[in-house]
Amino acid sequence: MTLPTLNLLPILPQVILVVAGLSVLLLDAAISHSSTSKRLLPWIALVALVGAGVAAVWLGMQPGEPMAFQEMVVADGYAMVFSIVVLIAAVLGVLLARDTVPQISDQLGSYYALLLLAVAGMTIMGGALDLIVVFLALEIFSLALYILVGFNRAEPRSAEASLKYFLLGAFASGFFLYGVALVYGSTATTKLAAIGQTLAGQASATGIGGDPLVLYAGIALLIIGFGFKIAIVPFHMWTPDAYQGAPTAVTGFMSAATKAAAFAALVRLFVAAFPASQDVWSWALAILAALTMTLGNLAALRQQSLKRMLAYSSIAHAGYALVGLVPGTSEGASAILFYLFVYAFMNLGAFAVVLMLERLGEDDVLQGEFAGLAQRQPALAATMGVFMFSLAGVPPLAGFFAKFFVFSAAMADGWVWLVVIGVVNSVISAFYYLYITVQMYFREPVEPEPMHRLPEPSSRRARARAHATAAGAAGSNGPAGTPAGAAALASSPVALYVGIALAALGTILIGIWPALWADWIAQAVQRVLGS
Amino acid sequence: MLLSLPLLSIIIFLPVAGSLVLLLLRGQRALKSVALVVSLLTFLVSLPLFFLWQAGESGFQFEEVWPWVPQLGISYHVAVDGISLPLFLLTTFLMPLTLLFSWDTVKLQLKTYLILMLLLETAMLGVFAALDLVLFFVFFEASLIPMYFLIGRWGGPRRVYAALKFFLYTATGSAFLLAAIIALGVLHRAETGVLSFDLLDLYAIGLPANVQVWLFFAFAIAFAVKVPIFPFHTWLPDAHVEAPTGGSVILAGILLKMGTYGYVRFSLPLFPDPTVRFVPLFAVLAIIGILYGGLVALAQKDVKRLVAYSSVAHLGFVVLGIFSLQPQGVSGSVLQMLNHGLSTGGLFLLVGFLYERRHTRMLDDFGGLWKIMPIYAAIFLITALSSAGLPGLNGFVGEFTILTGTMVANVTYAVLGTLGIIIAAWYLLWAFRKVFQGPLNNPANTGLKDLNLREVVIMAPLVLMFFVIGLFPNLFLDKINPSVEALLTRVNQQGQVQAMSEAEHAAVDGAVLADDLVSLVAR
Repeated sequence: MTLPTLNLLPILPQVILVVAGLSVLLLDAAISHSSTSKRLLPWIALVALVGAGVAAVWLGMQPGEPMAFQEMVVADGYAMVFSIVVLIAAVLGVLLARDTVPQISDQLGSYYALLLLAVAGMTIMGGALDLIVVFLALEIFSLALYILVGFNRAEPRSAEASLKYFLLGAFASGFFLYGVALVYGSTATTKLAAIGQTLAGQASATGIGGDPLVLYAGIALLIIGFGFKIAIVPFHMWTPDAYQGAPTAVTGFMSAATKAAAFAALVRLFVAAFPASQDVWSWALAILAALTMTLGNLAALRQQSLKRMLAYSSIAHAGYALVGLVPGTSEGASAILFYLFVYAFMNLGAFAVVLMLERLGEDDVLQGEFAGLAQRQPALAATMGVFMFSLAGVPPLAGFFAKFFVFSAAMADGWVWLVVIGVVNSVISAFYYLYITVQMYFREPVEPEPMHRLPEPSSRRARARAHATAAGAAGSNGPAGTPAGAAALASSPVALYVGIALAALGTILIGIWPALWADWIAQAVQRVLGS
Repeated sequence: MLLSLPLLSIIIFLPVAGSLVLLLLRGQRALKSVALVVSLLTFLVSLPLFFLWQAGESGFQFEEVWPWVPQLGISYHVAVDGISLPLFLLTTFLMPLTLLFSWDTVKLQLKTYLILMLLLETAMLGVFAALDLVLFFVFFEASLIPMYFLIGRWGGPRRVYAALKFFLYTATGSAFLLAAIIALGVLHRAETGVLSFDLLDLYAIGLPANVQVWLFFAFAIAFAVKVPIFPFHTWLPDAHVEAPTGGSVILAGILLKMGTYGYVRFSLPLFPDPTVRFVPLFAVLAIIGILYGGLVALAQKDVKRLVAYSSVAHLGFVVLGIFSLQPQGVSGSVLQMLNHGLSTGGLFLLVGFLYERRHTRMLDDFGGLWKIMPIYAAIFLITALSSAGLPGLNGFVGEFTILTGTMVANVTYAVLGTLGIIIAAWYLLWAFRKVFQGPLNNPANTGLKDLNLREVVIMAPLVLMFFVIGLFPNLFLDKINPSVEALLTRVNQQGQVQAMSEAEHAAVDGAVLADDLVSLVAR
């Protein structure tokens, strides 16, 4: 027995992320009493994310697709693009967290460490060539996310969300593992390429791929496992609670990044390993996509809390993206990638605006609290308008082309009914996205009620909020430059503003010039998945 | 030649550039002046389109093609022909007038208002110039956002309801349009191996008749909501009544034409088969629109509502003319789109003047204004008569040509349509009598001032155009006719030649007809 040659190069981005994550943790322990040094932590995380991005791009451009661990992980163009999407979401996530996480916890080191570890797990998903690696990566990022969701320890809802997410996520992992076992049972391998070859061989020999019952059960269980992570109906039950309870910076990050990671593995798995039984899973996924879009949008219509609304909207968007997988073509796969790429910008942007309002002293942001935002904060309202119209898929914003690519991929394979359901859903979704713009632009600002809820002494966040409100009130009365005004200025969330600006810029530019990004993505996908 | 310049792109994107400049400016006066100058500049730059036009040419002119999303075969392809030119110019012509109207009337958030107006202009110009279906859709949908905000922010008491209704009705229609556009691109690939959404490429593929029917209706619903064709019209009165005057002018003057233009530009040539088959359906709906719109207008107490319903009736005429599938009918419809933009735009402006003075639009609140506002009354009368189709003014030429075309195709339709002209004259003159004639017995009206210079300047170009088109319709018709004939040749070649057989003999050349009109008017 020979030892495998250990080639860490193909996982260079993950190595960078893990090393940075652990350093952040150690550094936090070393400087635990110096609050000024703690400000360094998010920037270290950002540098690590950018470094991982550079490494991923460099690897993606290497000839010959470097592989590692006996061809279990690959650093090809496909992995590179998915890594970039996850990293974009992570960069925005860090920008969102920088100004807000200190308000809910002083354990900044663990926050950024967990975030980086989650990103490490997610970026492996795109390059995983073996079901075992998929499972490992899934667990790495899921465990980190369970903790991050419950990071706001002063908030019972956060703990509840964490527990719910953990329990259902554990179930999902079980389903996934059982699916892996059944697929192994029917093909005697866990390598994606080998599964594909075996099934193709069996299909040409017997007319059907493998023992259909075992194989189909395996595929179904894998769909369920992925379905939980992506939040497809009917495996979406955890989503609204987890999204609402989690700290908003975490919600924004995980809504885009988890989807990207799970889709990365899902698409490669189905297109590379199961093309032989595509007739069956195409239909299953088409029905799931239709259900997901419709129920997600219908449920979002009824939400008052903005985070819950965005949670249901994110379910609906998982449905749109899933439409791209139904045809099982590389065209559809690139459409999914483009969708997730766009979604990272527009959805994190929307969560960043929500976070902004939370900061301004508005408890549990309700739709009504957007009333008159255009008068209070015109720039913030305008960017939220951009995100809402983009999520609704109105041109010339990026969300339109995201849907366009996905729908045209499905239409090209003849899924007319699915496309019709998709476009009808776009209209349904316009109702609730527009409602936010109605609040922001057409309603007068509501005078803040006198504080009927006293700030709980234990809650740092409530204290900070009370402080911000007082400072804001003083600032609006007195001229700028008074001590109160200066205090408000000092706590101004620069990183949050940068995050919102980046997200808005991305949403607009990708919409006006989709070709650049789409081309890049399509080329990366084409090389890996073939025609 | 100027042709080496990307003239169309300059015109289309000049307003966007202007809106970016506005972002940096402060001060009401500076904002207003820059917006007005930008829109005037856009108009001036668009004039060469008219004067450098290659007469007798049926194809597209001033064409520009750039790849946009090459992997999906989407291109930035703009050009104008005789069908789009009038609407393109109408847009650049109406916009400065609308901004001039807003000079003193919009105070609230002026900057945003002006930026939205300029963005809207770009979207509308793009709609009329786009030859790539995706590009068209992008502009078509993008025009919703500014108008949504214009109604919802600067509108009347029920503005939010009206804005949402406007957006959601139109977006629902467009959803089917989008699915159909994607299907067309995919069908193109099935036949030729490459995706393309270019209208001229799509001409080349032969669509099976049953596929055509589905796509035809997907397109037709989107455009029917926009026009609006009965029974999809219910958003229109709400949107019009609640919109600020500037919004109403643009909405009635230009946005509605996107629907009728869509039928001529896309539905007819792409789906000739179902077009010919479903002529009766659209003719009947158009006639219902004409009669229903007219009768409901007659019952209105609010002048703005009255003008809004008159739009339903007038656009019914346009649809009737289009689905006559006769050269004169379609040419008349294209001309009538221009006419309706001018005269209904003018009526909304006039109603706006009155509303600014009295803050009411109820017919019963007025009477005898002729005595104290003679200039206003005279302009109102001319505009109303233009709208009602008095010979010598523009409306007559359009309606007459449409009815001639319809007559050739089907006498019954033409007779029923003619009833609409009588109703139109009835409600417009009735409104005129209520407002201007009779005793001046409402004390609130006695202090009303006549139009000031700015207001006369706004109306003068419109009144001038009523006469120019009324007396010299060939200025436009000889640009419209060749393109329309080429279009109908395509429809007839492709479609089943059923309604057309006897029509061929009776067909009169549109230019000849227009000459007859001129002599008729001169006599």
